[in-house]
Amino acid sequence: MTAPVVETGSMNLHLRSGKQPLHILKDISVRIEPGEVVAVVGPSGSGKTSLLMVLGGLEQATDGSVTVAGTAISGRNEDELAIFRRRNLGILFQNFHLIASMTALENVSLALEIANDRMPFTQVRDVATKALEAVGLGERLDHLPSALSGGEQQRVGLARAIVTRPKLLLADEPTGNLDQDTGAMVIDMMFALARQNGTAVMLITHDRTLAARADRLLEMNHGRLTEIAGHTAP
Amino acid sequence: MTWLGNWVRVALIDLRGDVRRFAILLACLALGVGTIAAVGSVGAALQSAVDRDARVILGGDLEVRLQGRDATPEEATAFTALGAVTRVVELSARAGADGKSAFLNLRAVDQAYPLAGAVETGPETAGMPLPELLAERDGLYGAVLDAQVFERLGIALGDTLSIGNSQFAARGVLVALPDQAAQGFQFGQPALIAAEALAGAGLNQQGVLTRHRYKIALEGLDFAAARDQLDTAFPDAPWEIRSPQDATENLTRFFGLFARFLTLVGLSSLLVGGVGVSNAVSAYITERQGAIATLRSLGATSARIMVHFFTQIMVLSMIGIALGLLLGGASTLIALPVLSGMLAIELPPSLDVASLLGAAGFGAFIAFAFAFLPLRRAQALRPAILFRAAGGGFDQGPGWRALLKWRTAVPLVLALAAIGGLAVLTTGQPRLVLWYGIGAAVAFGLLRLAAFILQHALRLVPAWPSAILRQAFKAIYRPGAPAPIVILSLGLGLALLLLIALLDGNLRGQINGAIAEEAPSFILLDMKPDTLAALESFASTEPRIESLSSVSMLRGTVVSIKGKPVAELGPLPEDIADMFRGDTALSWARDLPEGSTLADGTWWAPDYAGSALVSLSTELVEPLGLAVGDEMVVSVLGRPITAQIASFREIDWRSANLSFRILFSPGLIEKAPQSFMGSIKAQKGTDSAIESALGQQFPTLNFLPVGDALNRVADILASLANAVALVGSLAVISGVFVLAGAMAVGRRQREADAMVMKVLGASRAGVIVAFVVEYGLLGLLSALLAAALGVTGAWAILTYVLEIPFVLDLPLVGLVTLGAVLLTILTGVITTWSAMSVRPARRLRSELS
Repeated sequence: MTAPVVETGSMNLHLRSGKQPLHILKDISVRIEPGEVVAVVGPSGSGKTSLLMVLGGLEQATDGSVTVAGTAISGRNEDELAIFRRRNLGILFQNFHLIASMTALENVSLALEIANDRMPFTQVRDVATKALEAVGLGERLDHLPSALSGGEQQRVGLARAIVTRPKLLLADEPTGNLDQDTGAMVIDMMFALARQNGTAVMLITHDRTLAARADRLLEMNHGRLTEIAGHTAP
Repeated sequence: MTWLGNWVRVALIDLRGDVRRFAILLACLALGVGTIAAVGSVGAALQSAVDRDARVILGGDLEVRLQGRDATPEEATAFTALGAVTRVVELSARAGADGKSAFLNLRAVDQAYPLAGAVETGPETAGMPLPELLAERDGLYGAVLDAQVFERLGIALGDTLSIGNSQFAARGVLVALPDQAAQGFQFGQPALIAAEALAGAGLNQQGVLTRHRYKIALEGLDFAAARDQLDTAFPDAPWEIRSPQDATENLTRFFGLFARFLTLVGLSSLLVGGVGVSNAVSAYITERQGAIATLRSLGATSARIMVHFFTQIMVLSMIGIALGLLLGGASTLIALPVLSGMLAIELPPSLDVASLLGAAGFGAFIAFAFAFLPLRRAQALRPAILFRAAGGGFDQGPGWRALLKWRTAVPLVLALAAIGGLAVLTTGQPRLVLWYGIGAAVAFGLLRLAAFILQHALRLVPAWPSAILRQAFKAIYRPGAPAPIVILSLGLGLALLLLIALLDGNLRGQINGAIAEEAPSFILLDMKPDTLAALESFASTEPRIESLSSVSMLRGTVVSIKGKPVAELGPLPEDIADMFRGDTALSWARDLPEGSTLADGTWWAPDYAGSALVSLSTELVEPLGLAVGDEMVVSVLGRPITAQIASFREIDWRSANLSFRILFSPGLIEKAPQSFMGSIKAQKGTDSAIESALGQQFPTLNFLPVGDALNRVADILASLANAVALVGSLAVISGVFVLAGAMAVGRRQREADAMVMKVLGASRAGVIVAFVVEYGLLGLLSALLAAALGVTGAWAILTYVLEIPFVLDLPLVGLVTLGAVLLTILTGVITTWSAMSVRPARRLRSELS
């Protein structure tokens, strides 16, 4: 039996809103296997994004255990978490978050250079170019984000997220700012590339149709995560 | 180090984009560095000119000064034994032609003059040897005269003029004397004649004050050895021996004043520029929050974030510094020829590499010190903001606790120490730098404290009935409000503006007001009672004479002070020692003269008739160690008078009222034969006409046209004040950039607020009024604090650095304060107006993407 990519045990997250304490995630225990695609659905404010942030080391769990790619990430400082992310994670954002001053190729290269700052520049360019070709943007390498459509920007984001061959890809509403057809195309690519690389995926989405394409379906409600029984992978 | 190269390369790629966002950072650094570079280069050029020309300014390696007499044959032989000698006799004389007259500062020179440098004459006589111009030809000696003498006498080259009892031919226009700069304050226009012509003109007679200067080009001896040799050979000789360094002492002091002024302006410019850098970097970091968070989410460590943005800021800083060096270099090359003309000293256009390097160093350290905290904030930014709205508010920084962490504190302390060290190194004035640093720190602290108090006070105020006021006040104290940075930037910028304006105003007041308005136009010397009566009658019928005042005058010799003969008084300041080298002018008075204030002791009763009392100038107290009750013996007309010191007076020498350092009580010397001294204040612009009229009607009257001399000095100082104001305006422009930068920092939040209010249905007028109240309040508080800081700073600098009495110009302070409030409101309204012009839908869509 292989080690899971994600394993949390009785994890809780408390935040404060002004003087008001908020219990965001409640007793979360979840396990994701390598290469597995898991979708998390649930209403706004239910805690989906918070779960993703905790798994990405962007937010620290208040208690419980969180192990991602064999690394216990609770209690680590920001720099240790950054190193953890560059080695193990890819993140795909709803708002793309490309660096506006950099071309598509430079945005993808950036992820590689951060992950391995000793990689020769020519190799960085080659690998990044291939990643962009894989998402159909081989002809748009030198375009700035402002010259790309929303779908193209998200595909650059996808190339950037998977170029380092991460063990876990966290996708936060990746189609939220795209029309339905473009969104479907991006998701197809994401699933294909993840499976090709053996990357586990946690997809946060409102879209039940998209979620249905995952191997496993989880539902977040009032901070509690439950498995939707009866779901079968397509 | 490939990894570091990669980090830097990515940082440089990320600098692409609209360079206008860096305009304020570049402008602040360029102006600060430019000012420092120009100040340093001009100062270095002045100092090197003084050092280079010291020998020329003295006119030799050693100068022996004698008052009222020539060297004895033995003394002259001793001079000649030291090297080549030239003798210059200097005196005041009147020239006349066709009923017009001009007052001369006449120098009779021998054939060897000048030993160093050259006399520059007009183009008509360029290249002709000076002895040839001054020699006797066709029965007339020649004279080389200042252009103003030609103008006043209405003569041309070749015409005849009278000097004393002789006629001279005007043979050349005097453009520059090599040793002119060392002469300092001079009455009359400079003129040269041959030494042989002096006796014939009847000027070198008993009673005419002459100064005899022997300038020696030393051969085989240095200055100290030559001076010792002369002093040993002639221990009692009443001469003063001066070195080239002594000759440049006044110039150095004068330039020192100018340099201190410019240093203060330069430091201010840097300080304000630093705030501008800090604001600009803060605005940039705020704008790049998303990119920073993205880098962090991709796995960039805090070290990489620091290297990334540090590289960017330093590259931009280098560009700003380079622009500043260009600006400073160009200003220097333009300023030096202008200063050269003003100060009569050769200042070839040149750049001082050390000053430029120093300015670049200042720029780099300032950029680092003021950018470091915003960069630390970038380092601390958490990537979670990519998922949660962070808002567009201005982050006030890591807070004071973060400053206690060694990673923040050590680089900051090192950078500040480097700035202080560099300032001390370049100015050579550690006290000035220290006090300036303390002043700046206090200003920073006060402005931050004021912002803190304002925010907390507004929080405590009960809700106002007016929604607009509630909105305005809330905008000042809500989290992330730009109020503290606006108050700091605006307050510092304004304090600087006021400081420069008050310094400038006080200096101008000192020069123009005190000298031009109060000082007399002519000083009248040694008048007999009948001459005075005739003059009073003339003055009463001459409308161009505003006032004539006179005072009786005697001459006496100070014999001893506190029982000690004056010869044994030891070394004294030159002007005080002069009093004891023969006769000195003194007088008596019943009442305390106008323009004098009693500093110590008591003034005698007007009808006092007891034993002799004396009132002395306070200038004598310290050098002579005097106190009220001490005794001194003065010989008047051969009769020794023992007098007790009754009081000391502070004399305002700039006042039109004549005064004397030694004043006797009435009763004893008032019956002695005495002459009168007087002063005339002529209407503005009529000095020349009155001088001619006095010369014609009172041919024997001995008078000095002081108005001309004072005006010449005032012209030079006014030009310097203009130069200072010009340099100061650069610092003020920095202040405006800083204000613009502070407004830019808050603009994003203002736009967001305006958009929300517009979506909610607020009218443009309503939103604008709320911003007017908010920025009016911030502007008012900043302006009031700046007024207090600027006035205190100006007072301290004028009193302790420039040693000039401080006069508070309230209308100026009021004007600047009001202007600042209006400027702040206007800037706030303009930026808000443009924000209100954006359609909400467009803005909302751009927010989403």
